[in-house]
Amino acid sequence: MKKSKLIKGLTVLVIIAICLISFCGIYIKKQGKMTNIMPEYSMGMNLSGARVAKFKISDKTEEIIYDAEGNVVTDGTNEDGTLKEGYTKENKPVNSEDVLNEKNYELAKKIMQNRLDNMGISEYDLRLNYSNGEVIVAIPEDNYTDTAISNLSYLGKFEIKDSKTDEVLMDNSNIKNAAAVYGNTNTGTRVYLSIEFNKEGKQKLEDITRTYISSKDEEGNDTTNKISIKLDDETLLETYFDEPITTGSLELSIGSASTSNEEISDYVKQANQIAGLIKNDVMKIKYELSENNYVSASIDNIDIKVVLCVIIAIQVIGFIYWGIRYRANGIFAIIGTCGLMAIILLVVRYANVTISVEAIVAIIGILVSNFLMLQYALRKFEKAEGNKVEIIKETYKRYVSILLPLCIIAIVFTFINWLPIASIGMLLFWGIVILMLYNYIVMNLLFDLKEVRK
Amino acid sequence: MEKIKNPKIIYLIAVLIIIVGIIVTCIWKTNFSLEYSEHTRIDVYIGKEFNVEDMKQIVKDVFKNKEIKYQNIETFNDSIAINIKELNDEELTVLKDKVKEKYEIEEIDSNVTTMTIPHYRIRDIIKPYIAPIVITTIIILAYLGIRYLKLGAFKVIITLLLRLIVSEAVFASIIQILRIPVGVYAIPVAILIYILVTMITVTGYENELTRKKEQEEKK
Repeated sequence: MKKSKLIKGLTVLVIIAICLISFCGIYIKKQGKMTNIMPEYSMGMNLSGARVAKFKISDKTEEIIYDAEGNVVTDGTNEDGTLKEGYTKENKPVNSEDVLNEKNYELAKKIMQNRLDNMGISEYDLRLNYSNGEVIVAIPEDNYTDTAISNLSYLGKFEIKDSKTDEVLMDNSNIKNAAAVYGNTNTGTRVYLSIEFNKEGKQKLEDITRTYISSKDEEGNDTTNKISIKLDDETLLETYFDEPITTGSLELSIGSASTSNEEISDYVKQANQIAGLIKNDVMKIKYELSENNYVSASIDNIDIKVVLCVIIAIQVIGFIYWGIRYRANGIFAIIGTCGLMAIILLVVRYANVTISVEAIVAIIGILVSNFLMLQYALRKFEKAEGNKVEIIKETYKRYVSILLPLCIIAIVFTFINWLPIASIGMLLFWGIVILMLYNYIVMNLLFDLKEVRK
Repeated sequence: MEKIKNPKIIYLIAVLIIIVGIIVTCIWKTNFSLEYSEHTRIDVYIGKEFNVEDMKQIVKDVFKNKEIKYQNIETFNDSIAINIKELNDEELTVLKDKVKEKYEIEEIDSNVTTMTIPHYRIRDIIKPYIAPIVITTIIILAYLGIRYLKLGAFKVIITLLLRLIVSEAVFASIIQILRIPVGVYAIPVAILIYILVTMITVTGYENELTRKKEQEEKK
């Protein structure tokens, strides 16, 4: 009996210690001031803040030069900057009136959405103003935010051109898919941008790779015809081919790293960024970034405080019921529940689970499951239906079946690349795992049958 | 968990709520919260650290009882974003004047700017949730069909499916009927209903299965 009391006392002390660490933190003196060494919670966009960027339709004009026959030329000026004889120039808006319609605004929004998905942005808020075509995007703030924002204003026009004549050999319509791929070389891991072409593109690529090869004339001068790979008229690469490509897939090296995972990850992001730009449709409208700043979540956050207070209030009502109805076991169940939440909050921080507003669902789900499970066990202990081991076994047998659908939700949601959903999944997953392991300890070490207590 | 005694009455009430909800939806548009509806964000750049409460007082004086949401811009505590559903030129002018007077800002027009935030379409809000919910539901239904085979797989599956659809439809209808603004909490509540209905239904099946097993043992 004494031993049992000692174990209970120690268990309660451990739970209280965990609660203190989790809810209050561990403070040590660092550089003259007390600092909490516990990791910070990782918060989602709607709880911390986001980078908000506004894209407006470009009202710029571009200078177009025509030769004497009316063809558009890229270089039509003399050395002194004057136009060549017979050449004319015209200033045209980059967005003509006929492209500025709702259909193209919608297309731009869809393309931006696809690009954000391709870049692996797991949470965003993308809104289109249908009256003027402006797009407002909010994405989480991290090291990749600037790149992600800058990617959105690209037209995404991909072209393979003859370097000399500027003849377009291939464009977006020939692309089937594009993605980042890895390859192991002697020097380490190389990251490639793999462009897979469709049936027509495959044939075109084969023809190009047979034409644009290394060649020399009889006198030994280099006569190699080169191609330019262009994105939005900017040259990404100028190259030629060593051998014909018949697979319909072109692999462009982005970079390599021997050991640094961070460097590889950066190259993968770069490759995915270009892949995201070229595999989607070309935007019909040219956008430009007009505003770009970090905006915090609502300063007051009254809503979330109210929701948390309601949850705590309901839980306290449950605690009062347990305390009155089941006395000692009830009080141990209350202590156990506090410990459960403390452990979950610790794990959430160490496992770097991002918490969003939606994660409240998981917290409520875990609390309800815990309440039902302990309530069932408490009733059995009160009625002394069997011995301790039998009661715990029966409780687990029942609640494994009941919580399995919750496990399914947790696992499926965890693998979804949309943070608000993944947040529910991850929190639910850790909650259920901890609930099942921890409640076994609580029931085993703290609960007693009614007759034992007497 | 006791078996619901009069499920027909509950379903009848649910159907009535859904019908009223549909009628209301046909007549009025969905009411969105400030953050999901088209609104104006007024960015006020003070240029030095300021007391948010002072700014709130100015805003309250200008916009009276209108719903306002405040956000910090960047991390220097020298600017603030004021989100408001409807803004007219007169209010903006008064706000500029008051801010100019309080913080002695010369170039007020460049320090107080507005930006229209378009409304968040309901289909864009719901879209990311459709696939995970469908996948989860299919797996859960398959699990229930196998686990509670003795209770009749078809009955078990249909009951849960029906309860999920009806409960979500009732939730959506209540939002429409009571004109509750759809905001960031709408989807979490819908998922919570999904989880709770599933748990309640499964608990009911578990009880039914236990009873059935006990009856079989008695025989």
